[in-house]
Amino acid sequence: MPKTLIIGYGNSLRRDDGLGIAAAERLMEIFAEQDGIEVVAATQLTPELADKIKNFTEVVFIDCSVEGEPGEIAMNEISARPDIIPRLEHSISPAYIINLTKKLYNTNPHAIVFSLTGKEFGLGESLSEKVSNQLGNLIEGIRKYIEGLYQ
Amino acid sequence: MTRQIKIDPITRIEGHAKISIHLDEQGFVDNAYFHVTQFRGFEKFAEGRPFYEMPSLMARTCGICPVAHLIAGAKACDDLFAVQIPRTARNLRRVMNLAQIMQSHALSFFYLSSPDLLLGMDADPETRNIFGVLKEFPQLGKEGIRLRQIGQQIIESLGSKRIHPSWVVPGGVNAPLTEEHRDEILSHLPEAKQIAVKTLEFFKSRIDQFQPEIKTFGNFPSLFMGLIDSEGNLEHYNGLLRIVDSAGNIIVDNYDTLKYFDLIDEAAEPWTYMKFPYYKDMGYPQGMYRVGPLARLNIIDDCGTEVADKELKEFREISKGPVLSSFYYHWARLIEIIFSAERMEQLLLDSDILSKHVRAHAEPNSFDGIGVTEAPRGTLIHHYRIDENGLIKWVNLIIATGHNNLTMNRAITQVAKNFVHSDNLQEGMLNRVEAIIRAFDPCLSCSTHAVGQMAMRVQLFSPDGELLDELKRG
Amino acid sequence: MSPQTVKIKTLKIDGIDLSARGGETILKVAQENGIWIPTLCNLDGLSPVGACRLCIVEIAGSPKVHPACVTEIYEGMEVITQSERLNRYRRMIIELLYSERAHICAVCVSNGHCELQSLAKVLGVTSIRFPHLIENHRVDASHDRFLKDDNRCVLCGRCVRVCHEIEGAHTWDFMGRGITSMMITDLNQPWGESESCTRCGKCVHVCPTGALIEKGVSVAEMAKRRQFLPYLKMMREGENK
Repeated sequence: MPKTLIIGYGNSLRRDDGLGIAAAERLMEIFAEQDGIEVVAATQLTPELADKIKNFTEVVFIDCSVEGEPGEIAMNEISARPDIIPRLEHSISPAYIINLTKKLYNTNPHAIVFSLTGKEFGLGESLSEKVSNQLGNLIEGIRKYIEGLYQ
Repeated sequence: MTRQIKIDPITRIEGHAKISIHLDEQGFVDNAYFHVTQFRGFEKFAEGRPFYEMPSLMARTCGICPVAHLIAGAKACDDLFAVQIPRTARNLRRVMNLAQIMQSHALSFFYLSSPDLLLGMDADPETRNIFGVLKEFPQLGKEGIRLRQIGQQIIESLGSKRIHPSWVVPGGVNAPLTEEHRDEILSHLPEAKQIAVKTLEFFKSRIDQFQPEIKTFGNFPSLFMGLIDSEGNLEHYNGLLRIVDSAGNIIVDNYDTLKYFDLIDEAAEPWTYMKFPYYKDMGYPQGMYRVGPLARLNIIDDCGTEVADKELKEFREISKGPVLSSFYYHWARLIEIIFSAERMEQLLLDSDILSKHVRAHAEPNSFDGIGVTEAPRGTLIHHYRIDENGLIKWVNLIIATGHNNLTMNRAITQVAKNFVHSDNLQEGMLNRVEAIIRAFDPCLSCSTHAVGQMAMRVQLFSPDGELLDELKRG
Repeated sequence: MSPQTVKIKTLKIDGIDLSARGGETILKVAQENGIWIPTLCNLDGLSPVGACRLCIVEIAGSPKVHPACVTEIYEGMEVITQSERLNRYRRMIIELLYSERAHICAVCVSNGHCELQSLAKVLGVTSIRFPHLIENHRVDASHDRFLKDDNRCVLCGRCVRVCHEIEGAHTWDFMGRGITSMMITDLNQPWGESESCTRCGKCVHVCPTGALIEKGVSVAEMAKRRQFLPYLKMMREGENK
C-alpha cells in the first residue's frame, strides 16, 4: 500500500503563485478520509521537509510554473539528480528535496511534479482567469493520478 | 564611460539576482555590481487599508522569514498605539524572533555555505553542493534540519499555526503561553545549543584554509550598525541603535530607533532598483555600514549569555578592533545560534513568562509608527503613517539586505578584483563571487517562489560595454 | 392567529414526507427537519428577503428555481434541495460574490470566521472563473468603535434589516443598483458622523464577512456573536403584544 504525501506550495498573496496552496487545500478535503494520504501546504520548500518525506513512498508536488503558456498543465517525473541546487536563494526545488531525502534517510520515494503555468504575480489572492479556469482540471488530474496509485 | 545595462522584464517583476563584472582596458576588473530588485508593490497595496492588517500583510512578503516582518510590523503598530506592551508579550515575541533567527541561520550555514566551507572553494563544482557535503559529513545535513525543525517547532508552539502565525498582534500577542508549550520548547533547546557548539568547533578547526578568502571577502573598513540592550548586550527585538566605526569607536550610542531617519539616508543608483542606505553624517558613499550577525557581534559589549560570551571572547581575538572581513559572517552566525538557544532558555525560565497579561488594548494615538528589530540578516525597519481613522497613508521599509547593499557591492568588487582576471568566466573565481554574497546571506525577495527560482546570471563586460561572457547559474 | 385557522400541509423535501403549517417557507420547514440548504443573506431573527439566491431549490412541476427563504409551502409540494444544477448555480453565486470585491482573506480580521469563506468551502468552490472587478473601495473607519470595509461586503443587507427591524434606527441602507450598489449609513455620510446610529453594534455581529467589524481586533480575530438575535426578536415581539 503506497503512502502518499501531497505538497502544494507558493505564496497565496501573490496571485497565481498561490495556486499550489489553493490546490492543496482542495485536495485536503478530497482525501480527508483516506488513510495513507497526507496533504501539506507550504510557502516554500525547505530542507526540513525531508524529515517528513522520508515516511512516504509517493510524493506529489503542486507548483506554479513560469515556463510555457499561462494555463498550461504539466506533469513531470523528478529527475534522479537534483536539477537546481540553490546557491544564493532560500528556496529549493522538488528534485533537490527528494534527492536530499534519499541521501539523508536512505529511502527511495517516487515523486512527481504537477505544475500549472501562471500569468499574474502581483499582490492579491485572486488567480488570473487562465489559471483559475485550469485549477479544476489540475485538481482532477492529481486526483486521478493518486487514485491510480491505489488501484 | 556610460553604459546601458539591460534589466529584463522578469527582473523588474521580482528579485532574482544578477551580477555584472566590468573589465578595464588592461583586462582587470574595474567594478562589479550586484543587481537585486526589491518588490515594492505592497506600499501601494497597503494604502487605505486599516493599520492592523500590516503585520500579516508584511509577513507575506517573504516565504522564508515571515516572523521577522510580522514582529517589526507589530512593533510599528504598537508605536501607532503609543503604548508599552506587557513585559511578557515582549518576551514572547522575543522568543519567536530568536527561533526565526536560529532557523534562518541554520539554512544559511548548513545548506547554502557548507559546501564552500567544508569542501573548499575550488572543489569540483559537480560535487561542491549539499550532496557532496553529505557524502563526507553525513551527520551535518541532519543537524541542519534538526536546527530548522527546532526553530519551526518553537514558532508553531507559540503561534499554533504553521504558516504566517497571526498570534503576534498590535499591542502584544493574542494568547498566553501554556505551561505545556513552554516545557516542550525548553526540552528542545539543549539539543539546539549542542549542535551549534559542535558545528562551531568544527568550523573553527577548518578556518585556516581560508586565508585568501578571509583577506579579500569584503575585508575593508566600514561602519557597523545594530541594536543593543540598555547594558550593551546583544538584543534582537527591542533595543537602541549603536554604530561603531572600523576602529571600534562608538560613534552613535543608545540611539532611539524611532529617530532612525536622523541617522540614515538612502541614495539611489541608476543600475539597480534597490536603494543604498548610508550613515548621514559621513555622506554617500563613505557612510557605508554593515548590519547582520557580523555587525551585531562587532557593536556589542557582551552577548549576555554564558557560552555565547565565551565564544565572543575568542571571536574578538581575530583582530584588535571590529572583525572586518565579511567572511566571518559565518562564524558570527554560529555564535548567534548558540546565543538564541541560551537566550530563549533564559526568557522561558522567567517567572512571568506564563502570565495571562499579554496584550495592551488601545486605539492609534500617533499618526506615525516605527518598528525596528534585528532580523536574521540585520536591522529591519518598518515605518507606517496613518490618517486620523487608522488607515495607512504611507509605508517605508528598510530591510537588512538594503542596509548591506553598499558594502555588499563593495565586497563583490573586491572579490572580483582578486579572483577574476580574464575575458571569460571560470568556475572557481565565479564561485568566490557568489560565496561572498552567501556570506551576507541576502534576501533576494523571493516572495513569489516561482519567479524566485529563476537562474541567476553572471555577466562579464568589456570596457566598451560589450558582453564578453555570460553564465546562468542555478 | 387562533389555532383553529392553521392548516397543516403535507409536502416532500428530497423525497422525505413532511407536514408543516401553511404559510411557512420551504427553508423554515427544511431547517426544522434537519435538511440543510445553504444560506447567506438569511438569518434567524431577521425577515427573509431572498437577496443572495443561495437557498434556491427545485420544485416539481416548475422549470424555475425558487429561493427557499421566501417561497411558501403548499399542499403536495415536492422540493429538491440538492442537485447538480442547484450546486452549479450556488457555486456560481459564490464565485460572482468573490469576483465583485477584493476579499483578501489572508489579512482579513474575519479570516476563519467568515460565512462567505465557509460557504465556498462547503460548496466546493475552488476557483473563480470570472474576472475580478477589484475596485478599491475606501474603508470607512470614521466610527470610533466600528469599521466598514466595502471591499469585503456581499450586499446581503443583514445590517439594514437588523438596524431597521430590531434596533429601530434604520441607519443602514443600500445606495445604487446592481454592481454599483453600496451600503451606506444615513444619507451616505461617514459612519462616525451618523446621527441615527445608536452604536449598538448589532450590524457588526450579523455581518457574515469582514465588511463590518469592531475596531481593536487583529487579523483572524473577529468572531461574531449572533445567538442574541432570535431572543431579542422574541422579547421585542412580546413587548408589542
